[in-house]
Amino acid sequence: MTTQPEFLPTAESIAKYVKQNARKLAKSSSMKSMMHGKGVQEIIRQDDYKGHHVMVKTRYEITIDGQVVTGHIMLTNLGQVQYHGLPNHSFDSAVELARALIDNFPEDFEKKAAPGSPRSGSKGGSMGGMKMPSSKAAKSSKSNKSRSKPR
Amino acid sequence: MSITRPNALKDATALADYCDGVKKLKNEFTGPTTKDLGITGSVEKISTCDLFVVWHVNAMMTMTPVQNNPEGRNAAHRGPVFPAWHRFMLRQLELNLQRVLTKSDFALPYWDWAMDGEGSPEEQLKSGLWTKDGIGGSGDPISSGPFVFDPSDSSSFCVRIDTDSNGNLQQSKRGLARDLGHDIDTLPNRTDTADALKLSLYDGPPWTVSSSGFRNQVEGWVGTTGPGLHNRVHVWVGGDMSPASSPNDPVFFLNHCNVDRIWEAWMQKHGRVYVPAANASNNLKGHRLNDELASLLSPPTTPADVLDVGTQYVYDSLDV
Repeated sequence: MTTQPEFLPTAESIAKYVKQNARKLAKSSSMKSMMHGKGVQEIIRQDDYKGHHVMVKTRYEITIDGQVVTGHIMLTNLGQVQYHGLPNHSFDSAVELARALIDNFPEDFEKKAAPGSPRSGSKGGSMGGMKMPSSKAAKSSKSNKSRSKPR
Repeated sequence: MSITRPNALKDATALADYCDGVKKLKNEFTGPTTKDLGITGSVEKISTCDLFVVWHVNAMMTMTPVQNNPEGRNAAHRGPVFPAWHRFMLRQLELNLQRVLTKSDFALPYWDWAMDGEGSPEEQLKSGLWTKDGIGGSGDPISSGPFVFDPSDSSSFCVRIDTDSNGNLQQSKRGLARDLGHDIDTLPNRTDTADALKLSLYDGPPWTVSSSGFRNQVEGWVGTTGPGLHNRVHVWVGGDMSPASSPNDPVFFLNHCNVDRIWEAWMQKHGRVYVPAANASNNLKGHRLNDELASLLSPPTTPADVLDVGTQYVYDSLDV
């Protein structure tokens, strides 16, 4: 039950609390510490069954065109692969996950354009490290339909 | 005085106010910058609306606990705190919308997606929500409704912060993307919500995406037919609703307002029960009854503080 009067935000309070909480969040945001260097992630699952202790260690090292995938991978007890970058999806395999990354983030995996072409030297049409409007166009590819199970 | 949250498809004024307020928050800059929040690239001010995106991503990046957490329970998802943390987030948005709209009685509308889910896949795509008088339709970028991006108009709705394929926050400058019904054909329906309401257990060991109980069912990790309930809505909308930066799409809050309504309906039926208790194992820190919820724009709160919000708001209907 809420017992204290509710805090009502102002423009000033937002600035104050963001500054205060950003420091706390930076400390507690632990995803980077979950990584195991060079993109290798080891996931340890444990189970106790009929008096026996089971430990399953799974190592993932995913690259796409040689580019290391460093986002946090999770593995459920039922063996489903899940990923923080696509937090509402569940995949039957890491290969399915990699395909979904290509479908959902095409600008991250665009092949380098030939020297002299209009987009040479930029990433997904980006300029100065900022993604530009055209960058998500390939998202509409029907190929990512495969990652969702039919209902 | 308590306000009443309406159905977005039955209260055109509330939905129009919502869209107007979101655009106002998108163009409000109170001081925080990309540098303050560790976002690479040039130093840019972050709008109040985009702070909600950053908050969501950062909470998701906060693992609870840091080690021995193979199923990835984090400070806002994949564990008991999921409905409570999002209730906190929604209320912060609602209070800020009231402030910029100068309407103290503004109440966040919800999208009753399970009602839309009763129709055929084709009918689901034709819901009034996806029209120019609603929140616009599908596209990359979307080309109708109040959130269309116009590069020549600095006040138009622009996605400025999103995440890369590794889940890192980054700057962008583009229109909102949606891909309605592409990755999955159908929304959850009334049978799905009824099944969730039947569960008397709120949550239980292992307190993850493998748990039995209402929380995991409504979050959407249970089921053999693809993503369920909340997750299924994200996947069905697609585009900017897919990555961790999903609060970029204003439909995010309409979805979560409905999730909150379903939680409220569950509590009406089963009591204002929340587990794990305050004295549960430290391994569950961040998810226990009196633990602080990860905050960004305001002081923190706790799950205990958000269990009974009847003095703040109610819903026009708990028929979910």
